[in-house]
Amino acid sequence: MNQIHGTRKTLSLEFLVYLVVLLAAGLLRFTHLGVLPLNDHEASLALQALHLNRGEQVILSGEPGYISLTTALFYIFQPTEFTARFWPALAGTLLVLVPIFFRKQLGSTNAWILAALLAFDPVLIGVSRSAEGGALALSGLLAAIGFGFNRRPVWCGLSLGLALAGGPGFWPGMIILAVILLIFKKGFQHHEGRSLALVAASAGITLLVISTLFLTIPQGISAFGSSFVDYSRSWTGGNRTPLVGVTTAWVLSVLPLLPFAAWGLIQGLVRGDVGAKLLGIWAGASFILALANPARQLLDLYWVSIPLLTLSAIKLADLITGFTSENRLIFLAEVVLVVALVVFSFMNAVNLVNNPLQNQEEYRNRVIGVILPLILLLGMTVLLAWGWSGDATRKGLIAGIVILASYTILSNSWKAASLGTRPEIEIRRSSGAPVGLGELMTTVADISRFKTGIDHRIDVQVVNLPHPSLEWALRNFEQARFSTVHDSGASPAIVLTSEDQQPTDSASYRGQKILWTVKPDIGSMKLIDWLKWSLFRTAPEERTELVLWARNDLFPGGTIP
Amino acid sequence: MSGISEIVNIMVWYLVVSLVGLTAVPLAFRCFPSLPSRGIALARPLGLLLWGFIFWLLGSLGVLQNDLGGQVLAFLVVVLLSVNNLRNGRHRLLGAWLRQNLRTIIIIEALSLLVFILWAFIRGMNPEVTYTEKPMELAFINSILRSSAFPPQDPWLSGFAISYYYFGYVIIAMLTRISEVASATAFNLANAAWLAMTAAALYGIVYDITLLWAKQRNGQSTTGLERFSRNAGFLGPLYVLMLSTVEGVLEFLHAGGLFWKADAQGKLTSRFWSWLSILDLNQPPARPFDWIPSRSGGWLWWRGSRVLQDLTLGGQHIEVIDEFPFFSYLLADMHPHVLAMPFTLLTVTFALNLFMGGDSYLQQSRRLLDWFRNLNFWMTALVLGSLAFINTWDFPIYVGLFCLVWAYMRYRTEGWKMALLWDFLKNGLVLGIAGIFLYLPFYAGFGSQAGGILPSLEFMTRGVHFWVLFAVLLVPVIGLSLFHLKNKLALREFWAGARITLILLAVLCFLMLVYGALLFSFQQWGPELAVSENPYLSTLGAKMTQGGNAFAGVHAGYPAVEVLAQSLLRRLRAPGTWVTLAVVLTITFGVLLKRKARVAGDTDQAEVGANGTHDVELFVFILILFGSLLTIFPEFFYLRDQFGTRMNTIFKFYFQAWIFWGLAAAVGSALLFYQLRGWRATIFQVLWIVTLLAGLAYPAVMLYNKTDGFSMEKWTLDGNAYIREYNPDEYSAILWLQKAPNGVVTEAVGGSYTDYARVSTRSGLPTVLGWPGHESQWRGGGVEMGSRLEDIRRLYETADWEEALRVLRDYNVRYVYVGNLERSTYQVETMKFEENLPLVFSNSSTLIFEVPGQSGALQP
Repeated sequence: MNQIHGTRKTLSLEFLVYLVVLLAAGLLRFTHLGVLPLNDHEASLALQALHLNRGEQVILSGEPGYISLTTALFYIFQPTEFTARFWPALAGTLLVLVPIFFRKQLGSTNAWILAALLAFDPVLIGVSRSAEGGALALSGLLAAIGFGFNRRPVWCGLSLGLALAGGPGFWPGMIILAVILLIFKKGFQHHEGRSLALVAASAGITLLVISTLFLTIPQGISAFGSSFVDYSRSWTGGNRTPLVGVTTAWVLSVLPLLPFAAWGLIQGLVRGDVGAKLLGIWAGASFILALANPARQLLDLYWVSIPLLTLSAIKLADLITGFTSENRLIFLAEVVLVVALVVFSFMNAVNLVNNPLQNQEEYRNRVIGVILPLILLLGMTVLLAWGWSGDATRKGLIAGIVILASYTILSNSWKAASLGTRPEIEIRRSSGAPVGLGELMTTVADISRFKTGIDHRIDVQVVNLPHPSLEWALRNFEQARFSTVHDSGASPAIVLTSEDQQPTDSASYRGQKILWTVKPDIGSMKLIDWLKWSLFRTAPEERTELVLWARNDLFPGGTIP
Repeated sequence: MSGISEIVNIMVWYLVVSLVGLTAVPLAFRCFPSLPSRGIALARPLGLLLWGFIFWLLGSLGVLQNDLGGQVLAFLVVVLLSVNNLRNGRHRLLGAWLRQNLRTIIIIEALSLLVFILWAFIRGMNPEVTYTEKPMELAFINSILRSSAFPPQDPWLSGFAISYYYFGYVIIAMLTRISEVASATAFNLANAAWLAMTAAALYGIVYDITLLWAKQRNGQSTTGLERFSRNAGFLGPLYVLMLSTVEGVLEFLHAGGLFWKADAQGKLTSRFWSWLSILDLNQPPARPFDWIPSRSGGWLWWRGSRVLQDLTLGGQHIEVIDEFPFFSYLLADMHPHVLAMPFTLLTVTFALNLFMGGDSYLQQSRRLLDWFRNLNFWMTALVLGSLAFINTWDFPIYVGLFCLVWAYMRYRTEGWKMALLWDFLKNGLVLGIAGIFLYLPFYAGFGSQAGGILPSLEFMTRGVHFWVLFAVLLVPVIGLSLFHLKNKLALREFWAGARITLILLAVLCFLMLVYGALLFSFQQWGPELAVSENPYLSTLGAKMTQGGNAFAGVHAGYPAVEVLAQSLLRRLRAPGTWVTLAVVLTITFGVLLKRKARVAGDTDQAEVGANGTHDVELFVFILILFGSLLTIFPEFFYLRDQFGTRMNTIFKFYFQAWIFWGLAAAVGSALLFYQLRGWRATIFQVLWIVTLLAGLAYPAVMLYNKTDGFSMEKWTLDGNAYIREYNPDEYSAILWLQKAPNGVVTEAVGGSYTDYARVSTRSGLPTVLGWPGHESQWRGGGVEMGSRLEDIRRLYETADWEEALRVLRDYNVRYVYVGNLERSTYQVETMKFEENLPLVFSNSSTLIFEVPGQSGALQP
């Protein structure tokens, strides 16, 4: 009876933990989800869903799952930034439940720690808040593996179908899985032919149903082929994001966890643990696949996050399970020392990075301010360990470091969730954040209201501006036209051009420059810039501007010459 | 383009074709169980056909997009089909078979690779995609690549879909897209790939027939027999693809001044060359004679494809096309008859497999419902149906071949009865309908130019021309026939064959005369019916009058009686062709109609083997029969098209006859070399070598001539390189348009086979009107073209912007192209464009204006 009661208690506690983690994940993924305008990359996909929703012909790119599910959402609700990002956010939230499938293999503590890390990982948050299919591919494939381990072929197929519809992001995951299966084939149980057939059938049906939105968008299935093409082409084309930049951004994003992951991996390898070897190969393969690709992006590193977080979770669980100590006072003292002195040192370091130095003396003081607390910490720790309790001091030191790492992770997660002060400086895709949306929409809506009485009625012509984000922004305008040349004959009320162009009859228009997109110029960033980016989200910026031309007669007293 | 990138293009292209072929190996293994090679030599065409069909069909149904993603998915379906064929232990069977036949497979692959590389190398010496119909073919490929969906947009008639059998171009476009090779380069690579696929297929068929024949005679397979068949296989590509008409020899003799005599004024005359009456060759050669053929101001190699000359009663020469495979590949037009070659050979392989007792739907059941449930039936229909979509002319021919083989097999086992005829027709009809059904979306937008069958009263092929064309093939074919006549045919069987041949000729002749008389009589009856009060009779009368007048027009108004009488007299005066064919048909019918083999002791023995297989030699005679029927038919009838002559009928029928007889000649040569002994062997070998050398004369001299002495000076595979060299302004403008968004482009309109329509051809953007003559042929008239020709002239020449704007809006034009050809064709008023349209591209001789507000949507 007691045993049953104990199990229930454990289950309810575990349930509670997962519930909290799920809520936290949901908060980090759904909070202010629709605030940031869609960038070009996101808008190019969301626009496909929008066109489908309007019954227009469109050539679908290789993300059928995202496009068809988003089309359905646009049909039920309005096409907004929130609805455009809803499915990835949901998939990213549910991802934290995947460790439940692996409780047997990982152990229950490791599993919930992994769930928590999945909830707070900046890369995973980034991909979950991005209007694209990466989160669907990741969550789908991991869930498929989980269901497969738990002998649920139909559910495994369903998840696999979802992953297959997830777009180009599915293929690196598939390659990694193939590599692992190839290396560890003896370690995996062989499934019966019937189970595999069930998996294949349910995956095929799911892929068909999802990518075609219940057969209403037949060409959606074709987009599945395009996903493979898009991934293959990323190896031959791509925008060639600097390798060092992407790597640095990633290291800074996951820095607090890297030591734990490395520690866990080395320890596992030394022990000859197959799991550690598998996770190590997974991490290495996905890291190489992501970074060797010329079209590399920070958010493409989400396949690295899974083994990295798993190794970290195992190590962290190993460390924190032994925190109970007989000498609590020493333990707490060490924790306080670690937190206080490292924070003090860190503050001085921040000051050193952020403020211009006045003189040599001030510089020396700052350096001392950085180093001295760390020396002091080292000395105090040695004294505590020598004079009182070595075990309590060691545990206190680890607990302090874990607290600091957690704080840093939380900070990074917060920024990755676009909740920081400058979300446009987050490094995600190569597309810039359309920071000028507000100004543009306000100006155009003002003119439209002045001229027609309605915000979205005025005719707007966008000339040779290949910005899907702009087309998305103008989606509600009744008379928005996009062309490669200016139609002077039509004499549109508002013309949007790039800064080096102007309407052919420019004398009839008044122009206003608008800063359209901003993104960190990671190609030109130096070490100090990276440190600033890491701490304050400031960085050298790449900006694109456009010019809003309004016809003269739209202004009081204005006429057309 | 650098040399390295050219080599990479060649490698990538071949790898892609081979990958598709590799995928189809399990399917070929399953489809051809009765053949020693298991159809491995045809895996590439089979794979391409399946891949193309799935992509095109699903694309036409709106499931797949016309992009690389759609192609990848279609390929995945082929892979799944193939993998499905490896279940139930078949993968082990395939593995074992591959190990056993490794040497044959290596030979086939080596032959394919060698031919591909060699021909790509040759193509690089004269790669220009210009002259003849190459621009049309490149335009189709580019248009398919740029179309967002199927059916693809007509590149030369904006707003309309292609009205032509375009499946071959779909396959080339797919290969172009997936290999990421520029289309003008892909054009030449496709030519080499098709030649390689055809060569491998021919090798496979001859290998199969000879090995089956050797096994039937010698029991189990031995290394010696296999070596014999492996060597004999090379005769297939040699006879069909390489050997040519003996016109090449005549060129040598002509250039050497043989049979020419100078008269008193020094003028050269020749009774022989006049009698031969082949254009160019009937003119005196240049002096001094030097035995090396050359033709100033003309294409020396062209004449080989225009040996035949139809002569009207008024003595006028009418051009007839008599292409043969080597010429077609030398010319390097990717025309449907070339594109269809590997796929027609696939059909021949299906027929051979059926003949050898393959696991066909026909052998499993005679019930229609059972057929529809049988995968083999649908595979056969898929392959045969594709021919209508690749080269429509081939469809009835090969459906006929397949059904005839089956009917003949039943005849062999059950003897003659009327039910056989019904069986033949039923099979043909069901297979034909199924073949059409599978490609139904194609027929929805296809307007054929074919307008029925007409009697060929005036026109016939002179015997000497026929022999100039087919001598190389006829020698082994007749040799094999005579061998059978001597060794295997009883006199009564010979007479039976002669009787059927005579009946056939008499019936054809009778039908021709009666049909001709009937058509002439329309001139008389038509007007009488036309004045009838009954509207139906009146319409019928008008049609009859129109038809009768048109028919009389073909005969230049000669009286009907004279035409009919002359048609008989001409055939009697020049009996060479039909007598030759009568001899071949007599023996062929004799061999085929014989149901019992004559063996020593004069006892009859059934020739059907214990396992139901037939003597494979009979299949060779079926090929000979088909070749003969295809050549005898145009002696009496031809298919009516826009030209009103038998130019295309001869072209399409003789080309297929060449394939049938080429295969028969290859197998026949091997069998005769194997069997003949003594003086007969000597005579045959001498004749064989002489004809072989005669057949090689054309390839040798014309290859040298067309490649400018194998010049490597400007070697490239880029079919547009000549534009880059001679007209760099235009080249850069076309490059710009290739990357520009889709939309209608206007350019100067002019005649066929010229440089007109070059912008749409090379950019893939549809133009308002391309080659009007060709559009008219494709659509059976000019209704769709309307006033486009004049409208485009107005657009360029008018100074009135409003008038120009109306044209631009009427045809939804996005780009206005003004280059040198526009300036030389029209009095171009550029000012109106400059004042009203943004100039989006310009260089020293080319201007491109863009019409604002035209999104690229196409409308008729």
